[in-house]
Amino acid sequence: MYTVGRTAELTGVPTGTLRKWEQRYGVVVPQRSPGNYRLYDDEAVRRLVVMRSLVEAGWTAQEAARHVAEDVAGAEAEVGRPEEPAYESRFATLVACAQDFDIPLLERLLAESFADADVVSVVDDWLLPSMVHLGKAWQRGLITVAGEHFVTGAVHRRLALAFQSLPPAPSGGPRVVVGLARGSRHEIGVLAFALVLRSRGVAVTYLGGDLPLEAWVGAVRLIQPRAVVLAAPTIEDLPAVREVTDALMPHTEVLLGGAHQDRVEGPVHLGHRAGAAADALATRLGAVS
Amino acid sequence: MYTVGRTAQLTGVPRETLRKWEQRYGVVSPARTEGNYRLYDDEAVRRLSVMRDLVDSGWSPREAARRILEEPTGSAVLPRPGSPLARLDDLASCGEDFDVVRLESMLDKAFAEGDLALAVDEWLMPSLVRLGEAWQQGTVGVAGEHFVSAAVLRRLAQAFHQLPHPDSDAPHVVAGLARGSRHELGVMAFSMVLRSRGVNVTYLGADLPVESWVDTVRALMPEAVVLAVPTVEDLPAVREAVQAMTPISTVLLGGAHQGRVEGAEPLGHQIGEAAATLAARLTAER
Repeated sequence: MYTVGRTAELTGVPTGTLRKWEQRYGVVVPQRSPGNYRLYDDEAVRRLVVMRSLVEAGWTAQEAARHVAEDVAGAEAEVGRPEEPAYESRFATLVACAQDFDIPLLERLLAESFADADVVSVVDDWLLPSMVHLGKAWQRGLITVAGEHFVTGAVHRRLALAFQSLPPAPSGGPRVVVGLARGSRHEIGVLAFALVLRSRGVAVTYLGGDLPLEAWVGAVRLIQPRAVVLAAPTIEDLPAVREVTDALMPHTEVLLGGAHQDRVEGPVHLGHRAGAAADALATRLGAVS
Repeated sequence: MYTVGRTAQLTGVPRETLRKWEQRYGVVSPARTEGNYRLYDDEAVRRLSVMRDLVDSGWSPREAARRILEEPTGSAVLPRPGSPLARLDDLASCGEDFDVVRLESMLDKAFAEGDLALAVDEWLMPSLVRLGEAWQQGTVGVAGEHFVSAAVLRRLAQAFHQLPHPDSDAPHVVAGLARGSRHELGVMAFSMVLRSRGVNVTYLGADLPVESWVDTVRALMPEAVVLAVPTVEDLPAVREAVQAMTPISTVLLGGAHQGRVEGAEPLGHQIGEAAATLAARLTAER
């Protein structure tokens, strides 16, 4: 639970506006402390951060509040997505696989795409643009949730296979910890980043999705990596990402990727070509590939 | 931690039976509150659910308790002494020191030991139970548990993708988890063994809403659907999914709490063996 002050920090909404949104539009119903102070839970913080981005995108507060109250995930999809990549037939093939659940076609497509000699180009020119394309197809209702799960799962497995097929870096080299903040579960981007780092000789400790704040701090204290890499793939991730980057920055260098990285102050922003950014980080840390 | 009343509710085992199973068979040893009331942790609830399930399916309580206390057993072939499969604490220890190199080489060795079903039943799943115990005891943190689980999931994914495609006329199974359910390791391990036995598996992953399950099963018309109930919290969503799908397909259920869902066929608690058996059965029915 967060106080009103901490909620304002995590969401970027001033305390006066928080009260207004609560009282006029009922977008959240904070609990009260024994001393009658407002206390906001994770769901409230998530709603507020989505509401803020809708209002910034030009919605009236009233419309935004109604939208958020009805369907917070749907409302999130309305705002700020990266530009749709230029059309390529292999992006369309991925969408077709999500429509007809064609396992052999999907796995062949993945095998061909990963056969490109340069993993940076696989990630930046094919993998991540494909995933954006897939997300758009889902928003337009061209594919189902199950179709999206089916393809994303196969992409995740193929990334895992590529990752496991590389030898782990020798100890003594630079170490980087990679993962996602609490409640954040879109792993494809960070796993792709981890893959490129490992291909460049960096020792990667991959912690996966949805890791609580205390676990992040404990692991970073123990492992003492040269850097930590997180991502903010959706607007809903922002409060937890702000919280974890604040807590980790005194201990190590923190770098942030993902569509909404620019909305978090403090960490180094990795930009939107994750493969190239991972390559540059490996070079800067002096990894020997 | 759960009180005795809550544990009875969660497991469907009456309070007196809980006490009996503890005192006679030592299947759990609950902590005590200051007022000397019993407190059960997640691992105890898991064990009690498995015990109930075994007893319901005709095991004597004594046999069931022995089976649970001696995990892993139940398979005809036991790992030979000195095999990497005989070392069940190694995986959990990687969650303490975050040693990537050791963890990955351990997984490679275990998966290279002959049969995948055996590696899953005799080594992987019991080792994950130890990992859960280490987490409950506080020797492994949440980050350590995530680190090990992510590596196991990657290694399962690697094995899955390296298996050849079954023939297009081979039996077809759809596998995944219900809405809100996120513990993928068991169902992924099941899917991998199933594929290694020549079954076409469409893997849908975690947290899939019931409407999506129904639409997909209608569209794909698989011979069977496999879900799991790894935690008590998964029960409501699994019940909902099973109820919606049993009219259109055969639904099979794995996981510690599989015995508490009506309408689905229980797969038992040996994932690899169950997958191999299902593959044989579906192939024979063709």
